[in-house]
Order: sequence, then structure tokens, then C-alpha cells
Amino acid sequence: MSKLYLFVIGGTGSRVLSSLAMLLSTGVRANVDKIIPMIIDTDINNGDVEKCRNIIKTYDRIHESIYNGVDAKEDKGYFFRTKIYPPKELNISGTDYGTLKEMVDYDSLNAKGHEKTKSFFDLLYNNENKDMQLEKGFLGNPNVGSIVLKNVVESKQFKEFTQDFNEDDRIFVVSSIFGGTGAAGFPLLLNVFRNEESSMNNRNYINNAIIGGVSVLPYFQVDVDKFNTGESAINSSTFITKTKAALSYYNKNLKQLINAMFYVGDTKSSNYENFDGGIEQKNPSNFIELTAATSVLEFLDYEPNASTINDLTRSTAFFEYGLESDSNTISLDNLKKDASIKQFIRNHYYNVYVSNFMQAALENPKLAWRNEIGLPTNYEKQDFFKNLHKFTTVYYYRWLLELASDRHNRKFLPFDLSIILNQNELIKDISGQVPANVSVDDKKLFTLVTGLPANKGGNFIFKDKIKFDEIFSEMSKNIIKKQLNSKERMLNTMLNEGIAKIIDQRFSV
Amino acid sequence: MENFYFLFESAENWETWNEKGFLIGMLILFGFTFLFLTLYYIIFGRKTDRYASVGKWFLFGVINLLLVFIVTLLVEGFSVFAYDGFDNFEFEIWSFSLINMLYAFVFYFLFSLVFKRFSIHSKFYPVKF
Repeated sequence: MSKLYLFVIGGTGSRVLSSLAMLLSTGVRANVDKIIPMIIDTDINNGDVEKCRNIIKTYDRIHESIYNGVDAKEDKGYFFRTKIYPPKELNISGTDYGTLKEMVDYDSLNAKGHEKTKSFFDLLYNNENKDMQLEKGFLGNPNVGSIVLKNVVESKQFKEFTQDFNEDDRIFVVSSIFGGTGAAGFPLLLNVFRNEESSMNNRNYINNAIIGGVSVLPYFQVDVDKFNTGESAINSSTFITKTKAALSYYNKNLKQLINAMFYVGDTKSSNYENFDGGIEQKNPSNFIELTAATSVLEFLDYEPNASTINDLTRSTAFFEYGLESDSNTISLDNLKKDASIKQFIRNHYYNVYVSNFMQAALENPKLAWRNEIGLPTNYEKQDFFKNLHKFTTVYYYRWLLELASDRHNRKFLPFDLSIILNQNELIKDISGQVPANVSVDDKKLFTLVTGLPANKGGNFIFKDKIKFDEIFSEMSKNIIKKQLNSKERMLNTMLNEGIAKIIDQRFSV
Repeated sequence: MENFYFLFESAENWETWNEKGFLIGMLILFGFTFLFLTLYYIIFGRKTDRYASVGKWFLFGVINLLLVFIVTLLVEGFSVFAYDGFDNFEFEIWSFSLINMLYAFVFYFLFSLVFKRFSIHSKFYPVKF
């Protein structure tokens, strides 16, 4: 039973984790049994982290309802198949430290005998750095982060990670290179993992583990006016310089510590509001974060039979992400033509079914598949359906909407979003809890995928329709024969196989 | 068969009814009812859920009973009793057709309970068990 410990650092890390959860909800194959996310962020109230927590919590509830007690080898490729544990948050709340000065007990350096230390500290950190409140992260100052994040290894969650780490487990680190928390945390973690003199538990396993990482290069810029007026400490005009400096450092000091390194970024930057972290920092999901999430899956497929660095055929590999064709609006057509395209389409039709048709089906006491499976009355009011519906309407559609946001100079628009009627309300909603109001009619079902209409038959008398319930009813008897252990698993198997059949019939991708 | 059609009474043509009137009426009744049940539950009911509703089930039953009534009337009137026009039909032919029509719906309902087991989409119509 191999595990992936996924360290996600800073706001970008949390957003990549959210995208990974969305990706895994499609059933895309992850070559691992369990993913254990470890969030490292001093800004515990960060809106992106909160959003990520909620998405994974709902994902995990759905996963547990379906696959609890099911062997990891079964139901491969089904929706929500990969287990993602609720994120462990490494306890380094910046509010506990106050400023950098307070954290290092700067005043004590005035004592006799500490003059050199004080001078050295003053050389590395200016007054702004020293007086910086740490509660909202390191605001683009990795030199500050490198001191504070040292405390991560002392946290209870990090100790649990070292205790639970096994020989076959892998580690992957997601961080941005141009900010503060991610840029500081990534090298620090690698040094901790590879430190042969460390006293951590399972040191030998961790030292020899296969470690990968994705470094997200600049892909957004923030409002400079707020920096100029002093409202925000983040200045995006320094992102490129910082990136160059960090890359140079990585090249010298990190490449010998890591086995697979991924770089993603985009010159067509998105434009975000400038917030110094906190609950207001809720940047819209971005295509680059999705590509960073795919690097996690790519890493799991990287020499999959190797369990330690000694088993690898080469010490380090570097990867980048490229589109098949350059476009300001990316659709599925711009992506590599592989099985995941169909998986995306299946997942979208599944979400459309859950949001628009499933409740009516569950309320129909005479519907064939509902009765064959033996779902009880009021099943639509039970937790399983509520969680499915919530994941779809509150998180999935919002995620799609954010990927196609006007703030991005490169939008990801794989599906027709005109089906979401309350788009403005969703964009304005800071809580992230307003459900999407989706309207899909029989005609619309044929044009849901951007630039790829579904095959349509029919004639003058009979109009062709995509009939989910008809397909489900046809296969429900076979589902019963499989003698699955729960109603939820039966329902999930039926949805997976039924929608796969519909997509195979309707799309020749 | 006269027991089957116990609701029916004929004063003058009992022999003809007994000889072939009842038999033909019964064949029409069961022939059409089985045909409609096969259409509803097996032909359409295994292929599409377009007809899977109580309303559609009832509609098939109504068409069945109307056809049973019309065909019974025509066959009994023109073939069994060899009348040469509707004007000459005895009241008993009309009443027999009406009784056959009534039976058509009763048997349509009763045999539905058997046929529905062979369906996919209409398996739980008209009643769920």
C-alpha cells in the first residue's frame, strides 16, 4: 500500500491541491493508493486554504461512502477513486510568532557576546523584514520564510509524517517559486528530507525516498497600485527577478536532492487583486494550477516500479508542460489527445446528471434503476446524494467558472458555461458556498463540450435524446449481479459505467 | 365459456354464441391484450423508457380495449352472425362487445402484473412490487 505525501506550500500550493482533487474526482488514474496532503502555510486564515479544505472534505466523504472497505485494485478509473486524506496542516501559525523580530528574540541579541550575530542578522534582514507581521505568510520574502519554516519540522504533524513513512512511499512538493512561503519552503523541505544526520523517525526511508516537486513559475500579477500606496506588501514586478534568483539557487543546490522536477508557468499572466493573504485571498483557479496538479500524477507514473532512489535509472529528471497549440482560450482540443480527454467529458456529463437530473430520478418511485438497486425512499435527502450534489454545484461548476475567468489572459474553457445561470452571483460570492444554478435541456446536452458536439441521430418523427436513466436502467440488473457491498457503490458503478457508455456512443475522441 | 361471459345473456342465438361467438370473442380479447402487453412491456419496455409511466401504460390499455371493442363488434357482427350492415346488428352484439371491452381492461391490468417482470424500463408499472 504505497502512499504519496503531498506537501503543498502557500496559497498556490493549496490551489494546486484543489485542482488535484477536481482532477481525481474525474477518476483519472493515480498510480498510488492514498494521497496524504500536508499544507504548509503560516496564513491559516487564507481563503484559498479554506476553500481547499472544504473541497477535500467533501471529496473524502464521497470517497468513504463509496469505497470504504473496497480493495484498492477494484473500481479503477471510477469517479472519486483515489483516496485523499483530509489535509494535515503543519502548525506554524504566524499569529503565534508576531513579527520576525519577536520570533528570533531580536532584543536578546543586544546582550554582550551576540554583537556578531546581530550584525549578521541585520545584514540579511532589513527593518521592514524584521517588523513584518508573519500571520499572512511571508509576502514575497523567502529570506524571512526560510527562518520561520524551519519550525515546520518541529510540528506534531511533521513527526506523524516521519513515523508513518514507509519504504514504498513517495514525497512530492508543490510550491511557487516567485512568492514567499513556497519559495522558502521548498528548498528547506528538501534539505530536511535528505539530511542524513537528522534524528527524525524513519530517516533512512525518507532519505532514500523518491522525491518530486513542481515549481510554479510566475503566472499571475497583482495590482501594483496597492503596493505603491502601501496597502499591500506584494509587488509582482519583482516576480521574474525572484524567479531567476531562485532557479539559480535550485540549479546549484537542489538538483542533487530531487528525483523528478516539474516546472510550469505562463507568460500570459492572469491579473489578480492584491491582498496580503487572509480570508480575502481567494484567487480564481487557474489552468497553470491544473497543469501543476497533473504533474503529481505524472510523478506517480515516473518509473512506477521504483521504490527508492537506488531503483531509479537516473538521478534527476526535469519536466515542463506544453500545449499542443497556443491559444488564449484553451479547450480540450488544445490538450494532448489521450484517455484523460474522455475522462474529462465523462466527468462533466456525470456532474450535469448529478446537478440536473439525479434528484428527479431519485424522487421517482417507479424508476427502474432506482428500484433495481433498491434505494430507499428519501435517498435524495441522505448524506451521500447531498455530498455529491454539493461537490458538483458548489465546487465543480465554480472551479470551471474560475478557470474561464476574465482575469486570466489564458482561459481554460473546456465546456459550455452558459448552463450556469447565476455566474455573477458565484463570482461575487466570497464565502464560496453558493451553489451553481444550472439549467440544461435535451438540446443543450449535445453541445456541452466546447468545439466538440455529441453525435446526434434521430429523424423527422423521433428526436434523438441523451437519456441517462434509460441507459442506467438497462445496466442496473448487471450491477446487482456484481454483488457490491453497498448501495452507494452500486450507484457509483452504475453512474460510471452508464456515463462511459453514453460518452463512447456520442463522442469519437 | 358461457361461464366466462357470465355477464352476457342472449335470448335467441345462444347456440351460435356457444358454438363460436364466445370463442372468437375470447380469442380477440386475449390476442389483443397479449399483443399490447408484449408491445408495452417487451418490445418498448426493454428498449426505451419513453413509455415508462402510468399514463402511457393506461393509454396502451385504453387503445387495447378500444380495439377489442371494435374488432369484436366487427367480427361478431359481420363474420359470426353475417349481418350486412351496422343497422341490423342486434343489441346483444353491442353488449357482448362492451363486455369484451371491459374484460380487455381487466385482463390488461391482471396480465400486466406478470408481463412487467420481463420488462426493463416499465418493470414497476402500473404498480411497484
